[in-house]
This record gives sequence, structure tokens and C-alpha cells, in this order.
Amino acid sequence: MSNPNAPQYDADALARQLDDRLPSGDGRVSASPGNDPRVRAAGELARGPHPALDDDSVARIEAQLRAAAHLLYAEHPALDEAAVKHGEARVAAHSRLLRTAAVSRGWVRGLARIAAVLAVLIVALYGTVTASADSLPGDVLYPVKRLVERGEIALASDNEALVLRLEFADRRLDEFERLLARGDVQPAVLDSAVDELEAALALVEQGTGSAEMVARDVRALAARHVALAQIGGVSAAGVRFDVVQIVRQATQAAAQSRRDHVDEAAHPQLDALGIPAVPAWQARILPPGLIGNPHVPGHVSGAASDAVEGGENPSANGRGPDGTGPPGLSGDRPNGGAAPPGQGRGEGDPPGQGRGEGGPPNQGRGEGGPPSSSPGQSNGPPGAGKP
Amino acid sequence: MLAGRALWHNELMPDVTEAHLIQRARAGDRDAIAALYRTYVQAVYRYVSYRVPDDATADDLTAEVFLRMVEGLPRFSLNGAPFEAWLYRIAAARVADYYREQMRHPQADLPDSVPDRAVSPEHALQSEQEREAIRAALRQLSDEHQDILILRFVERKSHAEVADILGKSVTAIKSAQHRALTQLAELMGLDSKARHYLRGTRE
Repeated sequence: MSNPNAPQYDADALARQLDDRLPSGDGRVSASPGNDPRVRAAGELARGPHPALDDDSVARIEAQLRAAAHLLYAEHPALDEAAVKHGEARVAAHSRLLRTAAVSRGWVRGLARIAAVLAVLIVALYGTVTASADSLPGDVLYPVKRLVERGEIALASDNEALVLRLEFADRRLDEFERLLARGDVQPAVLDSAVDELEAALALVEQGTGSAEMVARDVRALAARHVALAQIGGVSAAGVRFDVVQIVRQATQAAAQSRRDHVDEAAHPQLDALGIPAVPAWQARILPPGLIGNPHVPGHVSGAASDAVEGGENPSANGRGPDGTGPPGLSGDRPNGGAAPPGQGRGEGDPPGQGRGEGGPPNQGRGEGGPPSSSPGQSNGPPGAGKP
Repeated sequence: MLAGRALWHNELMPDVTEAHLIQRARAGDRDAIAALYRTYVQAVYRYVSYRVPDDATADDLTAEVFLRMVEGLPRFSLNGAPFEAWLYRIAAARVADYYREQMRHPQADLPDSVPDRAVSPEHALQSEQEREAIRAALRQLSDEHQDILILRFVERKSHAEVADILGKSVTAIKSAQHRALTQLAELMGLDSKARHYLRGTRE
């Protein structure tokens, strides 16, 4: 064996050695490749087995070729130059498709796996979203619920968003109520409800939806908000002042809408916009025994609804339609009456005790005082108390 | 290999010379096209298979080579380069395209990047791993060196045939073969140096 490092060992010598040990034209490999690492490397490479295309793949590619050839030659059995060019263009287009399909098979395998993973994720996501619908603040899935809500809002038209905002406000109150039932008071949930109401009103101010309808919904929701806050023992300061402001806005929007569209002579009063004397929410959130019982802790008096009536309602001028305060929600003074100073009363309150501005309850400003705690206490509506 | 050479053989049309078959293929004879394909498909597949890291890509590129063949047949001249050389050039160009595309859009996590060549019953797993190691070492050489070694020792072409296919002189082929084998032996650790070629595949 020649020394591979010797000067005479050149490319020709190696070629001769290779021709001897690995002759071309057949698959024979010398059993003794010798010590030359180059020859040994060549022998390793030659030894095999070598890769082979399986029969199915051979047949598949042949079918592709026949299809391509068909496109190229079918219309032009006798080829002239123009026909060839025409055919080339067609087969090139077809081949691109076939090549794309062939080259992309590797991708398809990868994509199939990705698709399978995505399918699992989608199913899991759907299950998560569904499960999150009943979640409450503090639950693991609650952020998912809120995320889905944000997504719904983002995809909704203005009219749909308005409905959704009111629905979400109601949902927040439901959540607060459910939390309350298990002794967990979370004022932040009430704040979230107010946020939704504000967003709804912002849409109304932009001309979305029916102001009157929205005002009615907002008032009902706000009343429920205040009542829940009281039941939950959330202090007056914990109830956001803007609840009242929101109601006022809603009422103003409704009144403006009416002025714009309704003959005021025929409808001089907007009392129809007032909340029901005994709203459905009260029956829903309070046990029957609590309704109308001012002595029960957490009892909701008319102040709750009074507070949310707002002072801008023309009917809420410190008295009810009959000139007195409207019936309190708890019914403790059905016909209203002058409230003691500082207790919140309607028209006729002493200076400084009632200014007729819709404010939060327990402000001592005559716009609907704190929840009644004793019989005979005025629950006059907010609004028209004079300075 | 020259068109019409005596050793040429195809299973579909055994009595037809390659030159005649090419003429018929250029005229649109689909059986002639299929016969040419059947003659060269395994050689082209072996070549591509040694040049790329996985079977799926080799399969796809082989299909592409023959589609290009069908496209280019009307322009192929019997007086020019040998038909086989023409096919290898198409194959080499497709392999180059593949690596160019890989450079532009690296696919680090494609499952097919792992060699998935099937292990035949008669060959043990270790043998297959050794084959993969040799292929991996081969792919570290230059394109020209890879072509020469594959044609010489996988396809068992003579120096003259390789020179014919690659359009080079026999002297140039022998010189390049010398350098390529020297480098391959080093990569395979056959000259007592570290087994570099195993790096990244197994220790």
C-alpha cells in the first residue's frame, strides 16, 4: 500500500487504486480495501445499501408525468415550434401545480400535525369558554369570561354593543349577588357594572339605540345596583356616585329623545320613564319576608330607587305624581310626605338639606336619603329640593 | 453516458435505443416518456437522496426533476450533452434550489428534518445509523465533491463517465476526487482523527 502522504501518491495513483478495488460499472467492492483511508472512505460509501424509491412513489410520479405530458402534447400530436411553445406554457403551469403539490407534501405532514394540535386546542378552548360562563370573580376561569366579553364587544356593531353592555351590567350584578349569597362582598364587581352602564350611555349619546328604552333598562339596573350595595353592606362611599349620574344621563337622554320625537303637549309628563313602584329586581333579590320590612337589616327602602331616579326627571320634583314623594320601594310611606330635615325629602326641605340634584344616597341633600330605618321616614324622591 | 450507448437498457421498451426513445418522447409519446423515467428514476433518487437530509424531500425533488424533464424535452438536443448528464444537472439544480430555499426560510422544527429512511429487514439499526453518518459526512463536502463521489461510488461511474456528466476533464475529476476522498476520510475519522462526521448525530 502506498503511503498517502508520500509525494508520489497523487490523484492518478489514487484513481488507479480505486479502479482496482472499486471497479466502475458494477456493485463490487473489494473485500480488502487496504489501509488507505481514502480508499476505505470510498469503499464505505460504495458498500450500501443505497436508498431506493418505493414502488408506490415510482407509480405516483409516473402518473404525474403522464398527466403533464398529456397537457403538453394532447392537442398537438404533430409538434411544430408554435405547438411546443404553447404546450410548454401549459405544462409549465401544470407542472408548477404538481410541483407545488409534491414539494408541499412535507409541509402537509407538518400542517396535519399542527391541525391536529389546533383541533385539540379549539376543543379545549371551547370547553374553557363554556365553563367560564358561570365563573365568578376570583375563579380561575373568570378572566376568560371577561376576555370573551371584550371580544364580543369588539366584534359587535354599535347597536349590538349597546345591548351587550346592558347585558354585561346585569351579569356583573348577578355575579355580585351570587358572591353575596356566599358571604363574599366584592364592591369592585359593582364598579364593573357601573362601567358597563357608562359605556352603554356613551353609545346612547352617540345616537345609538332608543334613549327611552335604554333609560328604562339603566334605571332598573342602577336601582338593583344600589339595592345590592345596601344588602351587601357596602357603605355609601363604596357605592359609586356615578350610578346616580348615570341614571340622570339616561333620563336626560330619554327626555331629549322625547322632546325630539314626541309632541310634548300630548305627553307633558315623562313619568312613564320612572321605574316601577315595585320593580321585579326587588322581588328577585329579596326574600318575600324582607320586602317592605324596614326593620330587617339590609332592607331596601325607597331610597334605593329614589337615588337612582335622578333629579332631572321632571316628575321627580320632590313629590310623586300626586305632589308627594312617590311610594317608597319598601312601601313604608305609600303616599310620601314631608321628610324630616336631613333625612332626604322632596320639595320643601329646609335650606341646605335638599337641592334637587340626583346624588348618591345618604348625602343628606334631600335627593333621597339613606335607606329608611324607621317607619315614617321620608323616602321622597331626589330632585327638586330647594336650597 | 451517451444517448444510444450499447449498455443502455429500459424495461418498458427493451428493443428501443435511448436515442430513439428520446425522439419519441420529444414527439409526445407518453410511453416513451415513462420509459425514460423508469430508466433513470432510481439513479436520480439515489443522487438526490444523498444530497438532502430526508426521504420526503428526496421524493419530492425526484418528482420535480422528472417534471422538468417533461417540460424540457422539446428543447433537449440529441447532439448536446448526454441525456443522463442533462438529468443530473436538472437534479443538481433542484437540490441547489432546495438549499437556497432552506437558507431563506429555515425550518428548524420540521419533523422530516430527522432522517426517516426505512430500515430494511436485512439491515440492523446500527448499520442504518452508520449509513446515515456517512451521508451526513458526505453532505459536508462541496457540491462538486459530493457529485463526484456519488457518481463514482454510489452510481459506480468511471472517471470518464463522471467527466462526461459533469462537463469536466478526466484529470480534473481525478484531482477533485482525491481532495474529496481525503476530506471525507477525515470527516469519517478513518485517518485516526476525531470522528467529526459523527458530531451532531451521535457521539
